[in-house]
Order: sequence, then C-alpha cells, then structure tokens
Amino acid sequence: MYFGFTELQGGYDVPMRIVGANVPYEWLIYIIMFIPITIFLYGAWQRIKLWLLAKGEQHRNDNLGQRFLSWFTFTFAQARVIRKPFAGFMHFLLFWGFVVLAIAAGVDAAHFWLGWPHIEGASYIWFSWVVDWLGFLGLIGIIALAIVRYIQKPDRLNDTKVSDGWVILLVFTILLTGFVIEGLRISAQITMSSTMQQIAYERSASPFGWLFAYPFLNVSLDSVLIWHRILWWFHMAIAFLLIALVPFTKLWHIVTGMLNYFFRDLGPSAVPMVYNIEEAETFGVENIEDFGWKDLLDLDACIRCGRCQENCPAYNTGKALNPKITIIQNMKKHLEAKAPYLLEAKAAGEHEAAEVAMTSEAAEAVEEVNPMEQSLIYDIVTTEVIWDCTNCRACMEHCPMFIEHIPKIVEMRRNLVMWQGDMPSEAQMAFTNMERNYNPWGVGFANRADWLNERGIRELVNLVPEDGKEFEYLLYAGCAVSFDDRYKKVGEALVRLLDKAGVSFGYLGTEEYCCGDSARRLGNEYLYQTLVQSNLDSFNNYGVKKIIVVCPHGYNALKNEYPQMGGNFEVYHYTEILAKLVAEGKLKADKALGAKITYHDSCFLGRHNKIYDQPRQVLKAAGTNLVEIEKGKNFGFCCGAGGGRMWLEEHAVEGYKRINDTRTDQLLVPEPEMIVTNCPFCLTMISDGVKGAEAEEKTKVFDVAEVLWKSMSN
Amino acid sequence: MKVLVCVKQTFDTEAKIELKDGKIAEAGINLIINPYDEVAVEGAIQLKEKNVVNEVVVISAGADKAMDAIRTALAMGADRGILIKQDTAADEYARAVALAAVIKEENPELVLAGHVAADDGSSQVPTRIAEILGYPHINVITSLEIADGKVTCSSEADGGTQVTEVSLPAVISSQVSWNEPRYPSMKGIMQAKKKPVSTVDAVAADNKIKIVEYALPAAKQAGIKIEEDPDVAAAKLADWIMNTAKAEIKK
Ligand SMILES: Cc1cc2nc3c(=O)[nH]c(=O)nc-3n(C[C@H](O)[C@H](O)[C@H](O)COP(=O)(O)OP(=O)(O)OC[C@H]3O[C@@H](n4cnc5c(N)ncnc54)[C@H](O)[C@@H]3O)c2cc1C
Ligand code: SF4
Ligand code: SF4
Repeated sequence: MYFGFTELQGGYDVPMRIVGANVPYEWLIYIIMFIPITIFLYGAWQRIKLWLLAKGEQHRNDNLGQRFLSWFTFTFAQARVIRKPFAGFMHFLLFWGFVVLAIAAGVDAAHFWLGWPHIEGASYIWFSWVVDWLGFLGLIGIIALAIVRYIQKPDRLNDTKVSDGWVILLVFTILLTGFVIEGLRISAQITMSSTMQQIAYERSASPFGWLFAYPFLNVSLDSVLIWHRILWWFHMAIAFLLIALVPFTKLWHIVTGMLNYFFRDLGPSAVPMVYNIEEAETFGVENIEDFGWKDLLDLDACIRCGRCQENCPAYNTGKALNPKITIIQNMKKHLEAKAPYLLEAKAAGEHEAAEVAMTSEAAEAVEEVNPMEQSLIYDIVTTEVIWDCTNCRACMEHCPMFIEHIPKIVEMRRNLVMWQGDMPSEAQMAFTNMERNYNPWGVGFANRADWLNERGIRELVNLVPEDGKEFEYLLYAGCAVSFDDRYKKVGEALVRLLDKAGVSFGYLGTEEYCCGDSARRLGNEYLYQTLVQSNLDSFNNYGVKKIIVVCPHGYNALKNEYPQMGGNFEVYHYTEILAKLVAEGKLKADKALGAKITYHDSCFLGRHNKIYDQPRQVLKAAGTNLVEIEKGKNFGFCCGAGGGRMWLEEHAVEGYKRINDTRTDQLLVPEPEMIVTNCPFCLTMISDGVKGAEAEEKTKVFDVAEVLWKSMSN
Repeated sequence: MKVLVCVKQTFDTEAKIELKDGKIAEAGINLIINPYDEVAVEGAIQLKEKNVVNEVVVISAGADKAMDAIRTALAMGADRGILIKQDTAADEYARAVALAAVIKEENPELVLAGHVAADDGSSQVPTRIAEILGYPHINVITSLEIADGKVTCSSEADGGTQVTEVSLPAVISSQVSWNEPRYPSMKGIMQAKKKPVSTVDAVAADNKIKIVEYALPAAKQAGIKIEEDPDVAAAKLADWIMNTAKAEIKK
C-alpha cells in the first residue's frame, strides 16, 4: 500500500514502506500530530470531569483479569456489536479497518520518533496487503452504515442529527482520500518504474490502491505528483481533525466503549444493594450527580444505536419510556447542562454551591431554564417514564455498550418511593400488602399454606414447621402459588412431579415470606430488605441449603440478590430441576401430548438468568410440538408484569395495544393449542391477552410444570 | 389552628382471628392503624399542606404497642403524638372519657377521627367524645372544608349526600372514601423518629359494658360439585336439594 517512489528516493530493489516520498517537509506531521493529540486529551479531560461529579459510590475495580478479557473480546471481536447482523458486521469492518490503519500510521510515527526499522521485503508486501484490504473493507463499512442511517432508516435510528452525517462524511473522506493518494502514487510509480517486477510488487501489495491508479494513468506525471502532494496534506489534516474531534463528537464512543467493556457489571443480574439502609440519609437518586461514576460514564457511552429502544416493550407500545431518548440521552443532556454549575460549585466549595448557581456566568449563557433548578426525576426523566419500565432487561441485553438502564431506573424509583413518598396508589397498596401480610395480594399471611389442602396435596408435602421431617431441597413456593387460584394448580402439578420423582423436599408454609422482588424493583428497598431478612431467618432456622423456586422473580431474587444480604444457598428454578429429572429418567412422559405449542420466555428466567433450554427440554419430553416464535429467547418480548408492574394498571396508548396483548399476539401467530409459560405473572398477563384476543376456545395457557404433568399417566 | 386526630391501633383486616380460653388470641396478629383513622390522619395532613392548619397532633389510647400506630401517623406527616396508656379491655365509654380529657387539655379547634374501628366496629367513640366535650359532631364524612371558623362537610346519608355545617371546635369522623392515605416514605419515617411523643396515663373510668362471650362464625361447609352434562347435573342437583339438604319448599 505504501510502496513507494523508488526513483525519487534514489532507487532500491526491495519493496518497503516509504513514507513521505514526494512530500517535502513530511516530517512536520510528526510534530503537528501533537496538536490534535493535545486537543484530544483536553477534550477527554473535560468529559472525565463530568464523570467525576458523581457522588454515588460504584466499585468496579475487582476481577481485573476478567475485566481485561471483557475489554478485549468486546472491543476486538466486537462480540456485542455484531449481534445486529448487518449493521453490526459493517461496524466490525469499519472498526478493523481503522484499527489496522491506525497501526500502520503508528508504525510510521514509531519509525520517526523511536527509530523502528522499516518493514521490508515479503513481510512488507503482506503488511501492505492486509492494510489495503482492511482499509477497503472499512470503506465498505462506512458506506453501508451511511446507507442504513439515511436510506434504510430503521426506527431505532429515529434521532439522527446533523453531526451524525458530518462524522460519517469525515470518516468516509479519510478512507477515500487514502485510496486516492495511493492510486496517484501507484500511477506515478508505474510511469517511473524501471522493472516490471516493481509494478508486480505494487499490484500484490495494494490490490485496491492499484484499482485507484487507473484513472490517473493518462494524467501527466507532474500533475499526478502535485495532486499527490496536495491530497496527502489534506488527508493528514482531516485525519488529525478526526483525532481532535473524538471527545467532542459521537466518535467519543471509541473511548467510552472500551471503558464500558472494562468496567461493565460482571455480576449476575441484580439491583445494586443499599447497605446500612437504617443509617442512610437519603434514598435513591434525586439529582443527576447522585449517580455513581459508572452511571455517568454510561451516558457518554451511549452511541444512540437504538437497539434498546427497538426491543423495549414500553417504547413498542407507545409509552413515554424510551431507554435511548427519555432515559439515557435526556440524562446526558441534563448532565451537560448542569455540569458547568456543578463544576463551579465544586471549585468554590460545597457550602457555597447554591449561591454560585445563582451568580454563575454560565447562567447567562443558558436560556430561560436554570438546570440547577430542574429536577431530574420530575422534569428531565419524568415519573411517567420511571414507572413505565418493566425491568425486562431487553435494553441491557442488546445494548452494544453494556449500559445499565435498570439500576438507574430503580435508583430513581427509590427516591420517589422512599424519599418523595410519591408513587402510584396501586404500588402503595402492594407495599402495604407485602408489609402486613407478606404477599402483594394482601391475603392474610396465616393462610399461606392453605393451598396444600385446597389442592388436596397436603400429605405429599413435608410442611416442615408442622411435620419437621428432614429434606434435601426447600420448595420455595412463593406468593403466587400460595394465593393466586390459577397458580395454585401449577404448585400442585409441581408437587406431584417432585413427589413422583422421589425428590426429598420441604416447604415452610407460613414461615415463608414474599421474596420482595416487586418491592425492590418498585423502589421500596426498605421493605424488600425486611422481607429478605425474614426469609433468611427462616431458611437459616431450618438449615436450608438447596432451594427450588417456582416463580422466576423469586428465583432471580434468591439466587442473584439474596447473596447481597448474606444468603448463601444453591438456588434452582423448578424447570432446571424438572429438566434434570427428565434427563435422569426419573420422570417419564407416557402420554406424548403432540399438541402444537408456543413458549413464552419470561424475562427473569430468560434474559436475567439465561435459562432458555431447560424448559424447552421439559416441553420436548412432554411430547409437545414446540413452534419457536419470532421473538423468542433473548429477544423475548415482556408480558408487561416485571419490575413490579404486575401491580400497576397499564393504560393502553391510543394506536397501540397493551404490552400483554402485544405479546399474546406474537405467541398466537402459529395458532397454537397451548401457550406455555414459566412464571405466574406471565401466566396471568398472557391468559388475559388470550381472553382479550378471544382465542380462549382454541388456545389454552399453561405452565411448564402442568404440561409435563399432563403428559404422564398418573 | 391545631387539629387533633384520634387513631386506634387495630388488627390487620386480613388477620386470622382465633380464640384461646374464650379470648381473642393476639399472638401472630399484625397490628395496623385503623384504616378509617388513616384517612383522618391524611385529611389532617392535607389541611396542613394547604396551610389551613399549622399543627397536627395524633392521640391514641391503648397499650405501649399503640406507639407504632402513632409513629406511622407521624411518618405520614403529623407533627406530634400523645399516647394515653390505657388497659386494652377499656370499653367505648372509658376510651371516650380518656380521650376527651386529653383533648380538653390540648384544646384543639378540630378533632378528627375515623367513624368506626375495624376491629369492634361499634362506631361510638367520636360521638361520645363530642358529647362529653359538648362539641358539634358530623359523622361519616367524605369531604371537609374550613372557612371563617366553620367546617362544612359532606357525609353519606341514606341514598344520598348530606352537607352539614358546624362551628369550630367540632368532632368530625371520616368515611374511607374521603381521601387516599399516603404511604409513609423513608424520609417520613426518619423524621418521625425525631418528632415528640408524650405519654400520659388515662383518667380513671369504669367500663359500662361487660363482654360476656366471643364466638367465631361457624365454619363454612365445603360445597359440592356436580360435574356432568347440564341435563344430568340438573337432575342430580334437584335430588341433592330435596334428599340430602332436605330443603323445605315454601309456596
Ligand atoms: C356502623 C355503626 C355501628 C354502631 N355500633 C354501635 C354499637 O356497637 N353499640 C352502640 O351502642 N351503638 C352503636 N351504634 C350507634 C351509634 O352509637 C349511634 O350513631 C348513636 O348512638 C345514635 O345516634 P344517631 O344520631 O345515629 O341516631 P338518632 O337519630 O339519635 O336515633 C337513634 C334512636 O334514638 C331514638 N330517638 C331519636 N330521636 C327521638 C325522638 N325525637 N323521640 C324518641 N326517640 C328518639 C329512637 O329510638 C331512634 O331510633 C353504631 C352506629 C353505626 C353507624
Ligand atoms: S428494562 Fe425493558 S421496559 Fe425497562 S427500559 Fe429496558 S427494555 Fe424498556
Ligand atoms: S443505550 Fe445502548 S442500546 Fe440504547 S441507544 Fe445507547 S448504546 Fe444503543
């Protein structure tokens, strides 16, 4: 690619990279380059200062090895980015194009500053060939991405800005001028070459640059050399411009992306813990600067790709919540507006903060609204948006930058509930119920074990507080099995299956409490912790070591969140246990159902815990004919009940269906005889959906445990 | 202007009531603020938020545990509490006497209460307090407005609404539909810890009634389920009504 101008250089036979041939004062760029680098560093520091405004605590300096690996894989393999097949792959090409071109440029700078030797001979030809190819693929990448944004225009890119176009144009021009310069140089080379061998070298070293030489072959050598020189300087100028612009444009994602791959949350899906809640002085996040540094870094990492928006059930049903715009981007704009005041206040010392805000020069620059007086939760994000979220995790699953949306939403809910005392009245009702009767339905807690008698399975169950027998697994039935009439039947099926397979299990009855998931995700951390403590005391009291959980919300809480409070148990979802029992031959379906079914991946079993296969194995064992729907597994669309939304009314937005109806329609496409779920909330929501779609006659809604039990002659 | 709210601590409305030695077994029962009183507290706090009143005092007569009910009201936003220590066996008369004595001392312009307690449901105490103090009394209100030393309330009357006006001071008792009580925030709970609560002994008053016996409602008998085609099911049901339940058919 950079083979060059042997005649001008005095002539030699070995192909090698010659920089600056035909460009007098070429060495100046190695001095000039410090200008863009300085601007880059200055700009980067301006951004870093914003993250350092964070008052919240966030620790991300553990597991450095794993972090390094994460950074490496997600940067260089672009493992998240390429999940979006076309645009992702094109970004992959562009990324690698730039990486390799940057390495080539770096080799030149190293030659100049550090005296690295030139790459020569066959290695040079290979090197040049690779650089040429990747530069070309990068060019394809940027063109394809421009086509996606401006011609294909998917809804996810619904906030295209003028600057997006300028950045694309800049990147495109840098790549294109690179090839034109090369073409000019090669055409001069061909004219000047003394041997055919040299021309052959050119051709093998620069397969694409070679093509760009054709248009110039008939142009006079003098003109070619002049144009080469002019374009060369232009190319360098815009390349430096790009470097300087990184911290000030969307190009900044190159840096923040890598930081996010390094500092991402490596743990299982869990809401961050509030330690020492009794001594806390404020709750949740009221002001943008109350977030932790990683949360603020997240705002800078968002590249507005809209993958979160595309998969968000709230956005897709017309709600005010759009994780890209009404959460992340609005918060980012607010941080940027508020930062000058906060920085000034920080410089002036905390106590004068308020006065500074009033007298600040920055205040004059800002139009009518003073960002210091804007409320993050009421004016910027808005309570409507905060309550819209179902915690379904589609945003976090698909975000190429590993941005953590749910923890931010939960932090703002915490402030609303525990500090402002401002919440939907249905949430209040659910809290009161959980507080007084340890279940969100509010049925008297003393009746928690009554379902055993109602379903006629009392003698199959070791009700530990009464029967006091030893057990291997604790069956944590949860509130739905205890109090929801429909779901009691699922509890029954599961008990019968465990009994049949000879599993040793115990059940705590009235000494079992609500898992607290709904309380926590609705922002009532205090209530959540009270419930967790009651459960932990019970579990420890009975020496529990292994737990089978029925509801995926309880499963997620017990497995991923209870350890924050010292819970240390082996936690299984019942579908994991059933899959194991089936595989071991302890449960055998002898009445293969044959029914055509669709399966709904609940968010908390699926995306939050990546359990996609075990329930399918159970359904297969039951002899059903499972038809996969379009939005399954990690693309599963929420039923609408997560994040405590089970207890809040969902009002359909004009022109849209409600979340559960939207999901039910997707599940009904193959016209199944059954829709199968694994979660009590999903079962309720989808049953309602099927009723709403008037499909009850044709399609019944069941839980995995019921389906397996049906397939066995008892 | 000062408002005083009477709050009673009662059993959770979902609690499973069991008898032990002829008395209600209290073990394992969660105690809450009487839901009607929660509404009265909310009403008082809203008056304060509208700057109609400047102090909300909650009073409760009962055992030490009743302090929780006072704290909950303080967490909702009341300013101060008074716990009147009294035997839980006190009847409506004795309670009204004890409460009225403290109210007299506090001398508020307005006394709010729930119109009935969710546990014994006798609906007497506010009426008795009004009587003892010689204040006007409006019962079962669903709205309240204060202007020019007068209170105007709507209350439920048989088949309609009655609007009543009385002069202050007065005793007003609430219906649940008056408002939606707030859920105490952690901020409220933390602030409540610092709010003053005084404890006084109840003035002596002998009960006027004597509870002779408690009995639980008879357990509901399990129903029968006939799972047949409608014609067969109807015949079986008729047979069951006539021969098993031995129903008398009156003409
Ligand atoms: C939900 C509820 C529960 C209650 N539980 C109890 C309870 O457990 N124990 C209890 O003792 N009380 C109970 N009460 C009664 C309550 O104390 C009454 O509200 C009060 O005692 C009577 O006042 P009043 O204004 O409602 O009725 P009033 O209008 O005063 O009338 C009640 C009765 O007084 C007599 N009366 C009124 N005016 C005249 C007149 N001009 N001439 C002759 N007779 C007259 C009549 O017999 C009349 O039926 C309950 C009330 C309610 C609404
Ligand atoms: S968790 Fe689900 S509902 Fe909430 S913002 Fe993300 S995608 Fe939307
Ligand atoms: S939050 Fe993530 S998925 Fe959403 S627009 Fe930003 S980068 Fe894309």
